[in-house]
Amino acid sequence: MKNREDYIPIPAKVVALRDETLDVLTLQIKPDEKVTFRPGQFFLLSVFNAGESAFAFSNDSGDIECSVKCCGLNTQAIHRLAIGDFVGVRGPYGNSFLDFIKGKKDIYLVAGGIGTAPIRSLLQHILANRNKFGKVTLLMGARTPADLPYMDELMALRKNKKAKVDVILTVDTQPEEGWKENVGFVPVILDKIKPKTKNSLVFVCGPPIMIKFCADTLSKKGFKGDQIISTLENRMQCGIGKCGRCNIGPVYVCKCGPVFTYDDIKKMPKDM
Amino acid sequence: MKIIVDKKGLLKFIDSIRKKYRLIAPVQKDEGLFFDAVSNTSKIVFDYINPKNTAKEFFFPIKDPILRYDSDSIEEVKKSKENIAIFGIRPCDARALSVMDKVFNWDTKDGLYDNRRKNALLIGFGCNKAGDHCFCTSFGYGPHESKDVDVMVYQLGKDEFMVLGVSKRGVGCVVSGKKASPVHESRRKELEKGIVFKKKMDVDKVYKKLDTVFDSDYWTGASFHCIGCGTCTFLCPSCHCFCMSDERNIRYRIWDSCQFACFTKHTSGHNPRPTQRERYRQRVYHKFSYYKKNFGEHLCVGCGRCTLHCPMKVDIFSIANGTLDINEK
Repeated sequence: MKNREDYIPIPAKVVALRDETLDVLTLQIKPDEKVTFRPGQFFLLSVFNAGESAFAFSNDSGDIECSVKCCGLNTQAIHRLAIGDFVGVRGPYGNSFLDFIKGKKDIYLVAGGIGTAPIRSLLQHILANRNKFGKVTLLMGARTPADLPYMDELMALRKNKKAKVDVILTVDTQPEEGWKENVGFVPVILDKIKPKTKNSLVFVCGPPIMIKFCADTLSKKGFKGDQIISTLENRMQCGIGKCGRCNIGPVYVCKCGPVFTYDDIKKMPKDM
Repeated sequence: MKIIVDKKGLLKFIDSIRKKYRLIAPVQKDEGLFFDAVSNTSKIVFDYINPKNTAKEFFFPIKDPILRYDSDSIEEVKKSKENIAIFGIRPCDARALSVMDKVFNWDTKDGLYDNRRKNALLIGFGCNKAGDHCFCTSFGYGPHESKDVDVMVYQLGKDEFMVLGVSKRGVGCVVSGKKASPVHESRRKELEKGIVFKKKMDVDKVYKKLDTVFDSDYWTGASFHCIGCGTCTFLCPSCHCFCMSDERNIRYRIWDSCQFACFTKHTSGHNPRPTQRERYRQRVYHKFSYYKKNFGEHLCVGCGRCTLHCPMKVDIFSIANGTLDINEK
């Protein structure tokens, strides 16, 4: 991409907005130049006057989609965007989930809250190439039913017999009424669904504490470190290994990651 | 080619550089000695250990405008075509630039830095004495090292200077003068030998030791006095961390510091380096371990500015060297 060297973003327009939950917004962005990307990679979204921050792609192809939780100054500015607003994108950067999939594998997708965004990208890729994958199971959790993103899509996916994706949902605590799915933290439910180790890969995205307990659960079940794949989400500014803030030891998350196996993560110093 | 000139001849040579370059040299200001643009060569100071600021800010400015934006367009900020020449850069600062070249050209090139760097002329000035906090010889080079500059100048006597063209561009600049003899060269060697360094570290040993002491309690004590002001990183000739900031329709690239509390703070509130212990440890590891792992060279060059100007006198030399005395499992 020609603009990369000078940190100049590609001009882009917001073409669609969709509220996923009370504080998660999915944006569809059309850049002036075509951007091709792969699941797991990230890009930098500029809202001018607010700043530039890194987000995972939450779709597999076409216009860029990303889901943003309203947390800080930049994400507040993103939540104020309207259809037609001018933004900038820079990317794609980093490696992809697909780099870790060799051959036809059974796939477990484990997602917590806003961590579902990059998982959705991989899920879309799997659905578009369904015969290249074995059994696919999606486990998604959040604090409350209202915090579960992409619910319409996932309900449609559950009904779609051709997709053959097992969708399992959970929330942290028992809601008052009307909840017919699981209750419990994601690692607990992961333990309950008895994932099979043979010829399978587990992709875990979510809060660091959830990733840790999921990895522990899976390790106990006999999953090897290279079968557990996750993403690290450190603060980034440049995306190309120069600004110096995303490193864990000598590893720059933006360049060497953001996708790592649990084996890689275990080797890193405790600076996360 | 080596030539011998007197001070008048040297100033004439520096003046001739000004025709093609914007000249930067050490000049005295109210706040101390600084590298700054010079229009009159008689203002140049020749007797100093090191200016307060470093040469990096002429290639990687403190606040560098990148782009101009408005409600529906982005426009690149045109960079000045003027090339710069820096006179009086010490071997440590010149080496710091060579070391920084690696991170700025790490498979994705950084055009903002590279374009300034590739057209610049560096005129080094060998040291004849060491500062209290200098430890350049620990890194396998010395106060008369010339490989990172285009032209090298040594002061052999009160009114005697040896000028040496190093790079192709540098050789082209050095034109006339009395040829240096082997006597002059041995004089230079004598001067170099005569420099006394108070500090010397076995950096390879420190590099190996750092692999084993990451979780040590040592870092709590070592960083205890650090107040996280970031002075060390801003005066460092090789610290290269930055952030971006949008102000009044211009996006700037601005120096940032790993010593600041919010440097790594996630939007969620989680901070991978929550206290000064982790932040100071990061600086030591980046200088003496991580950079070498990625690029084969240490990011510290031993100029001593961080220690000299630290308001709390936190001494990176003693802290890095002190890791060798850690005895714990």
